[in-house]
Amino acid sequence: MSGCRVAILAVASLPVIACDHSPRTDVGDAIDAAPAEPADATVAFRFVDATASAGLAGIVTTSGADPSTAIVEVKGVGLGLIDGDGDGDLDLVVPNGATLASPHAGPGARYLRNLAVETGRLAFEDATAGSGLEAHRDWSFGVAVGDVNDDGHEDLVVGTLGSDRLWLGRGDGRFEDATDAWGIGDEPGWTSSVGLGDLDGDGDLDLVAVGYLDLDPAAPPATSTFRGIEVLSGPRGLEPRADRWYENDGDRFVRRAVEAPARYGLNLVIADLDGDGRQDVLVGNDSHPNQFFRNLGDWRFQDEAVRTGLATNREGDAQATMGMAIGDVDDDGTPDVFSTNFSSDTNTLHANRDGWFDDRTRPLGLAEGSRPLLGWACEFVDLEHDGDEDLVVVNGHVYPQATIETMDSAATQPPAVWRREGDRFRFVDPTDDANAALVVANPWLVEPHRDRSAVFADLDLDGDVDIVVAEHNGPLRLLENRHVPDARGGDDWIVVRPVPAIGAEVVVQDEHQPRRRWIRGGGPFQSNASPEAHLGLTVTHEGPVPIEVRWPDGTVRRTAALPGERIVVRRRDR
Amino acid sequence: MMRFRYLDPRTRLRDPRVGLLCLAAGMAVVGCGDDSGPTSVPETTTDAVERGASVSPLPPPTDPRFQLGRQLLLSGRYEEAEVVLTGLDGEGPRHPSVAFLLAVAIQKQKKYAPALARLDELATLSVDYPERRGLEHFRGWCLFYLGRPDEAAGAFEAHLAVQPDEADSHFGLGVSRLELGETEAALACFDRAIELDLAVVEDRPDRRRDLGKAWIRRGDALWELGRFEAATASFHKGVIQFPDHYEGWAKLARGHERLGDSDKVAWAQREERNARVRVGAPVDGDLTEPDA
Repeated sequence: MSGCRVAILAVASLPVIACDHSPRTDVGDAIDAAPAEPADATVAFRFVDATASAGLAGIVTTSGADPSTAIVEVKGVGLGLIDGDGDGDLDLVVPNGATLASPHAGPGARYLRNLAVETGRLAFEDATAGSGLEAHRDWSFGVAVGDVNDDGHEDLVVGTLGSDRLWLGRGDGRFEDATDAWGIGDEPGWTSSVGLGDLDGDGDLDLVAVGYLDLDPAAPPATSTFRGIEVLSGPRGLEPRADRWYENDGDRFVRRAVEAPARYGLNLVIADLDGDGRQDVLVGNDSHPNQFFRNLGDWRFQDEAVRTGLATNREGDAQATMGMAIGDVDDDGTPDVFSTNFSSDTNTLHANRDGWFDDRTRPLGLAEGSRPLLGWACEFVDLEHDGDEDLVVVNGHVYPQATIETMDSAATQPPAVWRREGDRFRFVDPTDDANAALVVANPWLVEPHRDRSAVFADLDLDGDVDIVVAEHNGPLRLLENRHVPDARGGDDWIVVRPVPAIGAEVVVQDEHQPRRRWIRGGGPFQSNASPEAHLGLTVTHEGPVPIEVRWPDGTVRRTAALPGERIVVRRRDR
Repeated sequence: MMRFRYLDPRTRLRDPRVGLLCLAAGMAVVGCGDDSGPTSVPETTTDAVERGASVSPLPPPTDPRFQLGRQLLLSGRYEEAEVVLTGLDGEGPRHPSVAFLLAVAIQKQKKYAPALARLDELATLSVDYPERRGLEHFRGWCLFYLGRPDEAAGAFEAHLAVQPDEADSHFGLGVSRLELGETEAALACFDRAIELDLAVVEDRPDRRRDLGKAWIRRGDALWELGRFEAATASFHKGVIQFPDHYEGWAKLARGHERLGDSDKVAWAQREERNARVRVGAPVDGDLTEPDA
């Protein structure tokens, strides 16, 4: 088992603090250990369902009636990754939904404290009681996490069907409702996703709340038809809701006017997509062209989605755009954008070519396998620790009536994986004999669900990326990554946590190939992206691996880390 | 399992006489080819399905509902065709021509999985019938839309083995190759489809639409190869042939954007919007329910 070293870096220097611990070998007495599984280095990756052994059994989300009867019931709820207790590992927040009958009095949020640091293994405890979050009972959707008030503790923003909420973290697992004090409850409605980012380069986190549509829970819209079958209606025919932009003024959010038509927004990416040093905002819209708000500075944004190619797919068609992820799929040093879409459509990969975004879904192999699936959360993850990033998507249909016979797509669907092979991706087709061993090692690849949101992060501090999935009106699932280093032996990963995380670009010099990761605002779907950059390493490095971290305010830190090391790189001295 | 009679269709398909018969009868699937082109434009249906009936070793069904179902299919009334043909197909002994047209009626409603299941079953039967020659073509489109481009390419190639001058299958093979990332091979397929369509388009103006789609897909391949100027020219040729292809206009606008001609960008975007309005496709800001 790989050892794990944690280092904290204040300025450009070598790691100064290192503490060895071996996850999964130092198991806490009070927690049931996961059954030992034989290591198998012959399969490319291996995830096991660790939901029960990690203490997450019975965490069930609520999103209205089951089966769904209205569009507000089909989006599911988001997930939050947050170091709420400041111990270095990532806890989980499940804001949870509600029902049409009681949209503001749902079963309530859950705060699930990660015990990885304490136990050395993947384990959570329900720490909702006393956290403050037990008071959060709004029908919730998107989650954003960041240190909004710059006090060194991570805070939580939740988009709801009502007033969005800001929960300021105290750093000890407790949160305080600062919605009114910070002024984000100014315009109740349906917010799908929320994203934080330093939009004006002043060092603090501004906020974008993505509006989906106007909906009165007491009067949900009438039904519609899809392929001749009566189904819940929307979004077309309903009134879209405008996005809201807020500048962080130090002790409150101040609304900023950004001229843009209201669309059915579902997700967003806040990152420097055009390489000019400013954080841009890409809003993914359902059935409407996406909006790419290029940051011109001084709170001036210009929608250049049509011009650059991000508005639609190659056919010029607006897509559904639920999940969004960024990664450098062509190794040209620029962030490319992947999005998930409706069934009978393909997911879409917009390759960044000097600021132009070309739909290269098909040439890159990402269309294959995606048409029968209705995709939601997605993320680029180096599953194999071979240096390049693979792609994971969770799926499930919005219509309970969906069948292969009627809609070419089933109501429940398994997650999907595309492995990067050379300059293309290859769909891991579970029905292909060539993938038989991989499927045996990863039965979750054939288990259908109604998944919506997911978060991807190294939850047990063992250097590989684990996955937590929130099923629509169903239980959380925790897929623990049991990565085994290949025959070269030794550690084949580095994890870098920039502080602050959002907006940071991390470059790790792996062999002769620089590997880039962008910590974005927004996330896989209604959830935040991991605040850590995970990198698999292609070779066994003898010495430290050079690392560079850049922030939106221009700060650059250069350091190095050994393989198998987790390092914290801070923008400024504490 | 269906109950059918007659000989092994695969053996029959390899019989050169059948190929000659097919050529003599014209292309079995002309106008039936799907595309990921404007989806709101109703697909016209094959005229050769009609013509092919005259060369069948197995006479077409005499039940008048067969002709009715076929006419409904040819006129784009796919749901009604499915109802009529389902009724006929449910009565024994079943006829493969009925089963085939029923599969096509289902496919034309974009229900590709059940259509493919029916076509796959037909492919295993030891029976020959006039529409049999178009089977792999339709299988190809089902497979393509179900996200199985490798198998789709195989199906189109199988069809081209017996109908080498079938432009629609060259086109289908091209889009499958494009999806597989085989851009140069895709380009050659589109060039061949264009060549075949150009040879007949004066006499058969109904081929203009397919010719337009081939030009536009050729542009996609050129774009993928980084040949933006040639791609833009190809998009332009495509929308000249098929002015309602709003996606072609969008691509043309994008091409002019890349080439830095803002006037032409604005023109192409206007035309894209006009085309969307003409065919009833959603336009930006249109909030109407499309499937209500």
